[in-house]
Amino acid sequence: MPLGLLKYGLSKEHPAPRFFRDCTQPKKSYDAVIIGGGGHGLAAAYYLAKDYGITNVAVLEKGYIGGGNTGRNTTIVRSNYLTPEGVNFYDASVKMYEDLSEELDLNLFYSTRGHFTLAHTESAMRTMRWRAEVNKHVGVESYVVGPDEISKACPQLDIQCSGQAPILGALYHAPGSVARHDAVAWGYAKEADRMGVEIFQMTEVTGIDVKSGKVVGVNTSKGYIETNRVLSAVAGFTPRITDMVDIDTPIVIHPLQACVSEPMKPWLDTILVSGSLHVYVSQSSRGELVMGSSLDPYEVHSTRSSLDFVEGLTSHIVDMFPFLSNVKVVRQWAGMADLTPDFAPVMGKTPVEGFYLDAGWGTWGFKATPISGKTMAETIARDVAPDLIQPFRLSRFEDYELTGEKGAASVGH
Amino acid sequence: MQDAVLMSPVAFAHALRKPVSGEVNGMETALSFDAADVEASRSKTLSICDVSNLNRFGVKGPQAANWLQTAGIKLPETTNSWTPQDNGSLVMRLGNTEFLLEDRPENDLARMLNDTAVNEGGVHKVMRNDAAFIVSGELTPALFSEVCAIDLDGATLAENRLVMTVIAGVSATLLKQTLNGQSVYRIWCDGTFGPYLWKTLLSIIEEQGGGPVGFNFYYSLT
Amino acid sequence: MKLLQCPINGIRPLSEFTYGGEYRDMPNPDTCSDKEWAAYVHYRHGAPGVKKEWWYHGPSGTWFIAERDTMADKVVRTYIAGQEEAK
Repeated sequence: MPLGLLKYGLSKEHPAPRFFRDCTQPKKSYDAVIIGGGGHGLAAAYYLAKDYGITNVAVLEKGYIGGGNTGRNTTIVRSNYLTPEGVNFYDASVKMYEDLSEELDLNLFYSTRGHFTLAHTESAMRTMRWRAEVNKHVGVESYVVGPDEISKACPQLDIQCSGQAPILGALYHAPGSVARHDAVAWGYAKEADRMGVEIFQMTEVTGIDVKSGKVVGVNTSKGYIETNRVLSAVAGFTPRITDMVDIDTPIVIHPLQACVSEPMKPWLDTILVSGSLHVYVSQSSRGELVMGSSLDPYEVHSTRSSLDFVEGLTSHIVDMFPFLSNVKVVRQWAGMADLTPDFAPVMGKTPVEGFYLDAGWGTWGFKATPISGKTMAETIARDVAPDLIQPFRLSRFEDYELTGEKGAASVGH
Repeated sequence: MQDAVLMSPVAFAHALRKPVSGEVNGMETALSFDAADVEASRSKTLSICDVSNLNRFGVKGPQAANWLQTAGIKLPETTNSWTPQDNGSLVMRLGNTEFLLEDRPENDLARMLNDTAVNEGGVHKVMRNDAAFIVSGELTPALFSEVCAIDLDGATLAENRLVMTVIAGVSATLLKQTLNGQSVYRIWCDGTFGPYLWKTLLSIIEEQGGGPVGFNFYYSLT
Repeated sequence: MKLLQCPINGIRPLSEFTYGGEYRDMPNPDTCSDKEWAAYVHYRHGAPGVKKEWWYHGPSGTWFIAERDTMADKVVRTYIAGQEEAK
């Protein structure tokens, strides 16, 4: 292997295989244009090609693929949500994730760890029981466990949380997993490209051309593209895109921050979440603790980090694991989370014909990557949103049919 | 049926120190924690005293200022300032239309106002359940620098100014007054946060070599 | 430590304040259509820009308006609602 590396290093033409072609100039027209080269957009391109044979598709990414929220989340995949709509949807995603490495022929380091949502109060315990029953009802493996079982799975955890917020129990979710998040984007890009989809990086959409209520094209930093179908899968940039087609949405943008510790030997097998302490933590395959917290409290359209965030987060992490007080935080970052009032996504058709929305992913987008790609591909191909995502349609707000999902990471109970 | 005795909101936080307690204004209060000379020396270094039992009267509304003036009370002219009455009672202006009065133990002004019926529009009594403290001593700046984000030294509290800010995470009202010839800080916060704030401030005060003093240190009732 | 100017209490750390969302005009509930009302209840203008927002100074109970650039996170000015001319 070292010799092979040396050979690569010395060769003039880089012999390492590329994941996808280096497309530079878009064609005059495409059957569909996907805005946003993150996991969701690339997955939609992949399933459009694979399931419906629609391969004359351009994916436009203003930065580099997987560089937005796909590469900024804390990589947790789970389906232990609160509403039946949510549980069914995320469960379909978890099942797709389990076979995804094989399907994309790329090791996603998908690792099923078991997921504990800790409860520090009686009211949180009540919510955990509620979630467990909803989960069981739709066939998802979740149940409530006591402090002894939590200690057995994670002996390093201080069950008393330094006396500040003793743990009364937890919702255990067996399929809870972590994965290598950027590989998910690369895997979908690679396979979509292989089937003919063209991926344009450093290509920004500057306008969407709508005539008589129908999409007819998009303006980009690389010229005008004719198309009748446009999917917006741009997370924190959604309001800027929906402004281009004059559609109102409830989406507001708050930064969501995360950080990692210096690498350690493997000691944390499970994924731990505490709604009361606003903390979630797992250990990556590199040995770093990947830690996240609640959303920033007010609207900001940037990915700046703040000291307040690390101070607050680490004080809670040390409550849970006092021995970590000497471990350093080595990196922190933020993503722009696109939030909805009912903590569920906005997916499907819009009042503009040919403009499809995959947005409102707040703090729950990465885990939904495969299923959102598959269902949005179906929506674009058939111009009908499948039943699974009907609860998430944009018109639910005008109809006062919100979903009431509160199993999202940032919501405490 | 026994008459209920109100306890200071901070009473349980005091209890472990076994103060000499007594009833003042109908509230069970820590009168002294230690010998008089020990408390006197603490008050020069750094000390805290619970004065939640002092009588208070809160009022707000567009006509509140007129109503108080009709009752013969001198009012501070601007928001976030205070003024003493001739009898020593404090009148604080918490907003354009909100006031808080606090008596010394020998005064009766706040109790009288609380007992007065309000029959006119634009005047609303405000129920108060403050925890109130006196902090004194030369190391006070060191204490505030640990628990407060703004600089309370210098002009911030000069000339009868009052400040509403966060102390150790608790919203509080602060002012600086001269009591028995000594410059002291006064702190008011919601009573339910009282025990927490008392414990937090006291732990820093003791680190600095100070300690608690009883109510009688400032207001000897003999 | 980020600072914010309260129009009554002066410059304070951001931790003393609570964000109250964008300042919005309410349509007349007696005359507007159901659709307009639903839009008022649910929809927000989420794109970045200089926005008028409600902020609350907790220790003094002061609600006020901040005009803030939500892209750069810089506050242009703050004032009590209805008193912007005075500032």
